[in-house]
Amino acid sequence: MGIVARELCKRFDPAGPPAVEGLSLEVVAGEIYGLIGPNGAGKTTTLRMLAGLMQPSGGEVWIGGHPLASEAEAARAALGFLTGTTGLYARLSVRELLGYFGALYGLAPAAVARRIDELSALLQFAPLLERRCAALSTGERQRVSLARAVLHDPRVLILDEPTAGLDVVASRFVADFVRDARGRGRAILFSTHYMTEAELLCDRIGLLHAGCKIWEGTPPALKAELEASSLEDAFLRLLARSERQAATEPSA
Amino acid sequence: MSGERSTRAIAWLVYRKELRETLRDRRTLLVMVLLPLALYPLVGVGVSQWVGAQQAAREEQPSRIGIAGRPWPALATALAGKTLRSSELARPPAEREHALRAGAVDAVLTVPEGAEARLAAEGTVELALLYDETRESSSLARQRVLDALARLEKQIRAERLKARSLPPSLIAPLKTVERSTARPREVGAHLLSGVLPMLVVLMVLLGAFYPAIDLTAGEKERGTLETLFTTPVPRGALVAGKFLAVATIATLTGILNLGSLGLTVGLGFGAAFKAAGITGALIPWSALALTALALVPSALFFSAVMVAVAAIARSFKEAQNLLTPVYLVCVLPAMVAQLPGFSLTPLTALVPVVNISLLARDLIAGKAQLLPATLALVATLAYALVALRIAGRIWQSERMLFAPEQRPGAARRAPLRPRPLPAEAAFLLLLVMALILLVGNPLQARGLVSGILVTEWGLIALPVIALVRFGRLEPGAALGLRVPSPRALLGALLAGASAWYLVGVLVESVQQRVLPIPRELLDEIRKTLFSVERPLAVDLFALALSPAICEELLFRGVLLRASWRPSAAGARAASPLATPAAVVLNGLLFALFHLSIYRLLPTFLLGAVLALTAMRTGSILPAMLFHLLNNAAAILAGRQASGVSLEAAGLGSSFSLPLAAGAAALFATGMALLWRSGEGLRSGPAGPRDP
Ligand SMILES: Nc1ncnc2c1ncn2[C@@H]1O[C@H](COP(=O)(O)OP(=O)(O)O)[C@@H](O)[C@H]1O
Ligand SMILES: [Mg+2]
Repeated sequence: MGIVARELCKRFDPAGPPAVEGLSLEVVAGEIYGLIGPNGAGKTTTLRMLAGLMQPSGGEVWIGGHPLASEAEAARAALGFLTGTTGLYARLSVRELLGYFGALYGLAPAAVARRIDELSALLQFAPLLERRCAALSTGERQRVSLARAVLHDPRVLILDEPTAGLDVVASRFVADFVRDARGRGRAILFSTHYMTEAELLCDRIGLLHAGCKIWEGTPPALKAELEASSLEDAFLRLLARSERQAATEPSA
Repeated sequence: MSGERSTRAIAWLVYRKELRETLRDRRTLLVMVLLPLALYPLVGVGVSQWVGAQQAAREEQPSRIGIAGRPWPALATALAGKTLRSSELARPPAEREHALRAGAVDAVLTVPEGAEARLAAEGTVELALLYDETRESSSLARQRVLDALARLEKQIRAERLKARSLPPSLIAPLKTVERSTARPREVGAHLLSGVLPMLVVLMVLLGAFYPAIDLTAGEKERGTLETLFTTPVPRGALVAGKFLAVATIATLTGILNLGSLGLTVGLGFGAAFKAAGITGALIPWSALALTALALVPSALFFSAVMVAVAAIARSFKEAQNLLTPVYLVCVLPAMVAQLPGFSLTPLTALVPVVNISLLARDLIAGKAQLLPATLALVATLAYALVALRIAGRIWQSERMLFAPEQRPGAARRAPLRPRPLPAEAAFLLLLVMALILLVGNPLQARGLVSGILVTEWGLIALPVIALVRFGRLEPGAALGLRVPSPRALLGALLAGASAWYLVGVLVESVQQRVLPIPRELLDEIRKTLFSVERPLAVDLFALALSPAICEELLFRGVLLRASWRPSAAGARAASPLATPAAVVLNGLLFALFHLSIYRLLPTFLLGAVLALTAMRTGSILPAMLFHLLNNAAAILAGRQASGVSLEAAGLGSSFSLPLAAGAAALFATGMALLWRSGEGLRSGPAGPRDP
């Protein structure tokens, strides 16, 4: 039981175009799903609606089998969410920060301590535990944020551009972490605009353009369908095709 | 795993974390601890030195006494000394006052002809002392002259008794020895109660200021709030924890300030007290402790308000911009409460902020009464609760977390708004009235014309312009700054020129029966407002043109547009009132604004008619013209000493039937023109459509 979204819509401006329209997707346990699109395509908006941070203008969401609208707290408890900004409390130490979120997720102090040990070993930040968050580098901050998102061992993981702005080493950490989570049967949804990364990592991808999902499937299937050499190439052709379609049927 | 946890436990968790994090913030610590510990002692030392220097300078400065007439030798001796410098004032009586007003001398003493001879004949010499009570140097001169004359009189008395071999006790049947029973403690309390309440309000607010922003808008800006909201906890618990943390910091700040201030006054001011003749002033510690307790509800109140407001902002900076007016709005009532004449009654106990300042004052002075004190505390707690509910609402809304983004570069600025919000207008009016009370009125007492000019342009027009500019309002629509039709201007011309007389007649016949204006007030008005000494142009500019422009901008501009819903604008318009109600409200506000019960009726009528004028013509300019002519006519009539006041307060009886009939005809014609000159904004014939 992972993520199910039906016909999600989001309109910020009643007069303008919707930021997200008619978006449905499903991510099952043990699967990595990549939501791919250029800046402004509506990725963040979609993920925020899935995390219950934004109220959809239409549509429904289930997280780990819990309908978000009626069982918000249970759905949130089943979800680990990494925001695009990954801000941390600058004046708390890493251990204090993780302890705080552990308590917010309702974990017992002993359980939190155990999880901190596990995750700091896995993500290699054990030496940083007593350091203030303000003193962390971008890569270190991202690792701590990942640990924070999975502190309560959620069945569903949603990550908003987790590798944006990271160097290769730090990106590699994230990729390994995501694969590890898939190995343990988690449902993972992440957004990115790096095609190569998506091609390497994702079981399935959804291409988002102007708030609409214009294609969905496995990376090899997409390349084959468009006779493209790379995913990037395929994506650009797909964009051109959907823009031509939009031009020929202006009423749509 | 979650689910069963109580909201309270989560709020406590959030509270502890926020407090820990905030106490690690250098800026908060600075405001909370360092500022009070360093500020008061420093200010204390500075003030006591400054006061001492001022006092010394003033005492050394001799008073200049102008003497009219010829003083006899003993008088001349008495009036010469270290503190008095007398000189002959050879001017005609009419110009003596002028010399005093111009500051050439500090007081004028007139000695009658033949004074010495009358004294020799054991008679009484009448001396006339002219002084200006509003000038400190003149008051001091008066005191010094009186002292010198008392000594001289005593000497003459002794001589007269001696000449008849009578004992001095003959004319001194009573002798009183006085001693003040105010204990040093009370002196200290009195001194503290003067400054402390406002400072405490100020400091509690300052204590809440940064934490309130940091824990809300700051978290939003840093991106941690979004993460926090993905956790499975109710938002109410998050708000409660944060609010309590802010309130704790604010309370601590207040208590530290109280303590430091008390110590400074007790120890540091010792020298200054001795200089002022007060020895051993003690600090009323128990009263300070009580005040610290009373501070908790106000800290809760301020924190709730600030957490609510700061949550609207997207960034730290924006929150600062939003909270600064809130800060001022809270400080102003505290300042007003310091004015003499305010006391904690069951009524003032209900006014937010004012009640807390008054309570603090009473507690420190040891004069607090149980009922109003309890009422003030309960009311403040209730307001805190309301503010907290509002904060909770704001935190539930999605816009609070994800306010529309501002794209860098692309100038996607919101369009200018066509009308001010009712809350903005109310805030503006309160601000202007507070400014007038605190700044305008004292200035007018010093110099009428300059005071009025500063009041009109600086305290009325400037805030209006600031609101339009920084509130991103569209001046044309929000103030009604539009070119009116010629018909509208003609109507305003006729009605404005005749209104003052009609209102005057009405006031004469109605008000003088119901609420007669006291004689002294009439004299005062006549003397100050219709002084022929000033050039007419000055009066017309200061008393007619300036109010016509500035007061219209406020009343028929912002206030009217915010409160009135022209039915043409349809049901979507946010303003609540239909035309008749808006006219009445505008008149009432205009009347209340003038702060005089005697001018209630005329100012109400004038305000209502001006509101109608602005509504029917869709422009503020005819209202300005109307107001200008009305005031100008009153000034001209007043100068004629026939005595019809500004806004026609009916001074005197210049009523004549033909004149009244003519004025009525002019007024009716003018109003008819105004009524039918409507364009754009006027109310349609169908009237308002929705309730
Ligand atoms: N809070 C908001 N208010 C108004 N418009 C928004 C808001 N958030 C996002 N948008 C708009 O929605 C669209 C999609 O944005 P977003 O989901 O952030 O795209 P992405 O994450 O794919 O770059 C953009 O046009 C953006 O300007
Ligand atoms: Mg994004």
